Parts: sequence; C-alpha cells; structure tokens
Amino acid sequence: MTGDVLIDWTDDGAPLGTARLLSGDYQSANFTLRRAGDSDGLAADDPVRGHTFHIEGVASQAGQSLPFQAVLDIDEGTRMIGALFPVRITDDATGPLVMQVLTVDPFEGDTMFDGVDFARLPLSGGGPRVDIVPGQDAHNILRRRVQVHDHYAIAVFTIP
Amino acid sequence: MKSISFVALAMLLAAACSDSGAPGTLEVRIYGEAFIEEGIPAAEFDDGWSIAFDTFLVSVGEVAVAAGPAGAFVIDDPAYRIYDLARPSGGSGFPVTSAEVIAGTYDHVRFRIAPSATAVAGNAEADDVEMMRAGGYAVWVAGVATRGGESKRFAWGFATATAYAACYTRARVDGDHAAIEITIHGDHIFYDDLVSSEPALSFDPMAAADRDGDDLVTVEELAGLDISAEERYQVGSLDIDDLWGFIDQQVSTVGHIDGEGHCDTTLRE
Repeated sequence: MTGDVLIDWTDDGAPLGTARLLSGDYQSANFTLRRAGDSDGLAADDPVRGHTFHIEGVASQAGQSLPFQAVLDIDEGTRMIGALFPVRITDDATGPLVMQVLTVDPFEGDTMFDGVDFARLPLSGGGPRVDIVPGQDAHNILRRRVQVHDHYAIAVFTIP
Repeated sequence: MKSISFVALAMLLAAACSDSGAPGTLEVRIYGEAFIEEGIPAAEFDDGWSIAFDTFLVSVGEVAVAAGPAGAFVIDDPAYRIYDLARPSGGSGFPVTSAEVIAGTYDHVRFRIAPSATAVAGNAEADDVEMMRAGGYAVWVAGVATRGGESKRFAWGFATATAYAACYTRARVDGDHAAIEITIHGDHIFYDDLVSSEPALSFDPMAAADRDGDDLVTVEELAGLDISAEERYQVGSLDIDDLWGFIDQQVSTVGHIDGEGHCDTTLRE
C-alpha cells in the first residue's frame, strides 16, 4: 500500500487504504515512520504536528492514577521491519485486514511502556500530569519500544 | 479498521553474461582493510578512543560466484575457512578460493560468515582455528582500546551466522586474472546506531561497561549494560536492550564486497 497515513490507534475501524495482494502465505509486513506535517491536515496546535507519535493516557498503579502525554520523534524514513502478518491470501480472498498496535508483546509479555517509571517523572507545569518529551530517558525508552516489531500486527478482520 | 496490502515489487537487474573472449582465472579474496590490519585511529572516533586489533578471526564459507542473478555458479565452494584479518597482507588481503572460468563479467557473489565445526585454516593459526571451531564462533575479535593513559582490553566471540547474497561486483575475465574481494569492515563493531545511515564510532559506553575496573571489557559486562534509555544506540524495530546484543547485531553488517559494495543479508542464529 502506498501513500502516507496518520493513524489514530484509538479510532477503531478507520480505513487506511486499499490495495491488491498477491496470493500466498504472508509472514510479516514493513512500514516506514515519518513526522506528521502539513499534508496531514492537522490543526496548527495539534500535538502530533512535527512528531511521529503522540500518546496520551493514564498510568495506574496501586490505586493511584497519573495522566501522561508523550510526543516521540523518530528519524524520518525509519523502517519498522517485521510486523506480524501470519495471513494466507487466496486467489478469491476479499475483505478487510486490520493493522494493530500491540501494547503488550504477545510473545514475551513485555509492554510498550516497560522501563518508563511514571512516578519519577516530573509533573508538568501546574497540573497533575507528566509530559514525556525529547531529551528525557523516558522518551528514549518509549521511542525505542514503539519501534519494536513485536508490537505491530496485521490480521484478517472478523466480525465479532 | 480497513487497511490492506503490502505489495513487494522485485526488479531484476540486467546481468552481464559470458562472451567469446578467452578463459582466465577468477579469484575470491578476503581483506580487513587498514582498520583491521593497522587499527582504527582516534580521529575516527567521536570520543577520542583508538583501537588496535590483536586478532580478528572470521569464519567464511559457502562462497559462490555467478554471472547474473540466474547464472550458473562458476565458483561454488562449500568449505569454511578461518582467517585472521589482523595479520598484515600488504593491502591485498588473503586468497579464499579460485577457479578457471570462461570469459565474462561475473557480477553476483554470495558467501556466509558463520560458525563451522569443520572449518579449516585460511591464514589463521591452528590454535585459533580450534578455538573458533570448539567455541562455535563466526567472528572473534581481540585487542585494546586506548585513549591517553587509559586502555581497555577486549576479547569477544560472536556466534551469529550471516548469509550475504546478491553482492554486486563486476569482475571481468578475458584471458587473464580477475579478483573479487570480500571486504570486512571492522569499524562497524563500534558503530553507535543500527539504523542511522551515518553512525558515529564510539567506545565510551563499552569502556563504561567495565564495572569491575579490571580494564578488560567482557561479554557479561556488555550484556549487563542497558542501552534502552540511550539517545544513541538506536536499534530500529529490533528488540535489543543491552550493549552486547547491540554489538552482536552490528557484527552481522561487517561483510561487504570490493570495498564498499553491499549485499543482501540474512541473519541466522
């Protein structure tokens, strides 16, 4: 599939594009990472503008919760090689495939956030939230984890 | 979510083929360049270290050469041989294998750098050959890093098997002798990035791994150094968190052809 896409992983079902596949047994897939830019139609203040990832959520442990936000910068053109794609495509196959982010590695059980100690990150100005930004160890750890191939998969979509 | 498809397009490049000239000798050699034979000077490092190799052992085998991607192999030598590329060669490297071939341009090479229990000496000493065979090593490097009054020794063995294929060369035989060079880039071991097109050479993290301060950097010490929070030492989509894993992966990039020529590589443990 050609072209650039900006994926909101929380927006289940958003179409990314279409293409024809050669029939056969597939094992893995690759894609290239980039920085979001003008071509993505983002608002001027969109947090992912100029970055590769914007992750926002809540980290919880032992009854305590801490909102966090991370912006990750990955070199333009960095290839993600080896996403899981254990799919057989037959000559008459039709229908959608889904691209998934796996925050928990299905093989080793580690998570995308292993090594990030949220409790030790400084709170951002005035609010009970931590910001993970370039220059921090937490950024470097998370930037490395989100590029690991075990955290991505493509599978045949089945209606629940 | 609907998405589909990654279509790989393969383009076969036109290959040269044999012609009506006179037959000659086609030879494959292996060379570690000045960086391995003479050392890597401090000017090449971003942190002032320099490297001198005592030994740089490589187990190379399954060397094959053809004219074109679908051409018959005129050299197809399954033997594994072990070379110490730190030994001086006068800039010409060491012979690996050769054959008398018909005239033509030979432009496809493949080889493997891998452990072999049946490897024989290329130019390496018998003790080193036995050590490589018994230890299951594909590459073994030993030497010293120096910066000012500091020095750190290292002796590291790598079991990683790497297949190099579709190495593009242009060795022309027409009644004479032509040579193809398997070139080993020893500086890659000290690269600070697995994915950058312009990695720097660095030894500081390896020196820092010497936790017991005995000035010998061991495999265990490197494996104990977590690189996951490093700005440098990026690994792309590989699941590598420690410095030994990083260096081990980097070793799979040392093989080249005719100096700076590249091959398709496949890594096998």
